Amino acid sequence: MTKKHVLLIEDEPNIIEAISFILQRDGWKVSSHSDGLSAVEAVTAATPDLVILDVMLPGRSGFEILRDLRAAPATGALPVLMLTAKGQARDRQEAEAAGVSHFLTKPFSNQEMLSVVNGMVQ
Amino acid sequence: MVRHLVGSRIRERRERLGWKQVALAARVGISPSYLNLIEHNRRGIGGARLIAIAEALGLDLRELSDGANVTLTHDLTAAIPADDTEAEADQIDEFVSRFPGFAALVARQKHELDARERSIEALSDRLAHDPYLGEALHEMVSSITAIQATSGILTSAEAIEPLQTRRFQNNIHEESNRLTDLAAGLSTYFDRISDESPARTTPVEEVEGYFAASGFRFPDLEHAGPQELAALIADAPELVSDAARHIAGDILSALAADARALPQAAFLDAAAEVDFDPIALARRFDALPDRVFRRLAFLPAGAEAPKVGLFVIDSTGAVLLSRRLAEFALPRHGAGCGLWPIYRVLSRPHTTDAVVLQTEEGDLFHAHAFARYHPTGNAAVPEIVRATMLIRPISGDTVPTPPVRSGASCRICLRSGCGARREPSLLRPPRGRLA
Repeated sequence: MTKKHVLLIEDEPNIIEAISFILQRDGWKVSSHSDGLSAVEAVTAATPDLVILDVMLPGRSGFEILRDLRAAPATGALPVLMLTAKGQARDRQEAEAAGVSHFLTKPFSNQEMLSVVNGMVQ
Repeated sequence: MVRHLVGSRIRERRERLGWKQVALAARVGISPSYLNLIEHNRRGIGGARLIAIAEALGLDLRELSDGANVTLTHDLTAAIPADDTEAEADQIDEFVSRFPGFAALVARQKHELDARERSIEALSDRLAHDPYLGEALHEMVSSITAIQATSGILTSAEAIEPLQTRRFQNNIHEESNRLTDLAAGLSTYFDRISDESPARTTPVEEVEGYFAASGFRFPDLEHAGPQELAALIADAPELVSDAARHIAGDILSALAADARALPQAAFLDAAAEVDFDPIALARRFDALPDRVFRRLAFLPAGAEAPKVGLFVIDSTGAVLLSRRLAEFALPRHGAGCGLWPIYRVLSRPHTTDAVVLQTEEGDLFHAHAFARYHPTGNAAVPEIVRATMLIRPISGDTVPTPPVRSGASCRICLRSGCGARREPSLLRPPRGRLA
């Protein structure tokens, strides 16, 4: 059985390391991309089963990246999990408007991260 | 009988003279019932009417009124919130007459409240839009997220390779250091904010406080150089913030230039000849009218000159300087009466507008207004407009032109049928459309 592939679009190295560890231990293949400007291309090239996308990235906002992903036929239905900051209700509204599949607020619990991503990809 | 109330004194005098209300009322041209209200301190009286009654009763004006405090009444009316139903708004005159100390306190507290509210708005606005704070918060959330996720891994039941454990511990340490730096930075930032912002007032208010404390009288600025002006500013306890000192410095520099252009002795002589008409003075000294307005308002202590009011605004309507007269209320902030000529000249710089204004109390004033361009040094908006208005009380009976019946501000003005009204008055319930 091929492992499910998750692409993590995040620029904080310690967050990448923690999330990668958790998901790999759960049986996922994890790759990461840290730059906002080239994020859409990276997703298109990697064809992951799931994308975890942070709201704030260098060069581009997570919302813009998400809108571009939804606009392209190849990635229109791709499961996308957004990481927003706790307490920013506006972020969640904007995420929903942009077509997010699911979101998690930072800081998140590792258990919740696992159950959410597993729920998104059957 | 409470001796110090104006109405009571009128009644007392009238009765001593053996006159009926009908007779006195007829003498001064008001109805007997209105005179009755006045005598029982249910209505205030001022201006021409007060003069007429004093004359009729053979009394010195000073004996009747202890400075009918028009301004205080206005301030108190404005102090009542729009939705308040408990304050006895229709008895303000009596309140002022009977408890002038308390009335002044209420007015002062309202002023203070307004100042604090503006401070709070400014600070909240700053917090909400401060890029440094936004950035700092984002960094903190990132750091905490990393620590949360990493420590969750380390405390989970599953075994982890020692090398990986070591890496994670290092990461936590790294993020902790980052949080420490962030906390220190925020601490310093807030220290800086609280040092910068004055405790209670905005710079414009500090400047106003400074001029009020000086009584709008300065030692002769004619020979004051930059050092003397700087010393004046430095010595002023009312000027706390740098911004206030800057604004006050600009104003004082302008006043010093006015004093040099219009030397006191010559200016006062000429002014006496033309009965302090600012336009005649401007022509005689070949000076711009607003310079003459300022000079008249800021004559040095001891000069024999009538008290005048001065109002300076920019084209947004913001008040730059306001010197009130007891009988002519000028706002410290925000809008005055739309009928004042100062608002008209904003759109016609370098032309003078002169009208006679009649306040609600019946007092008459010459109002002269002049607006002028000021360079900004900004290529996109090279000039802005500032306007100045001079208010001079008219004494005597002769009124040269029909007066414009104005008020102090719509909210506390009772004039009906005024096309310039922008909001209903507090003192009259709105009737579905603006009065």
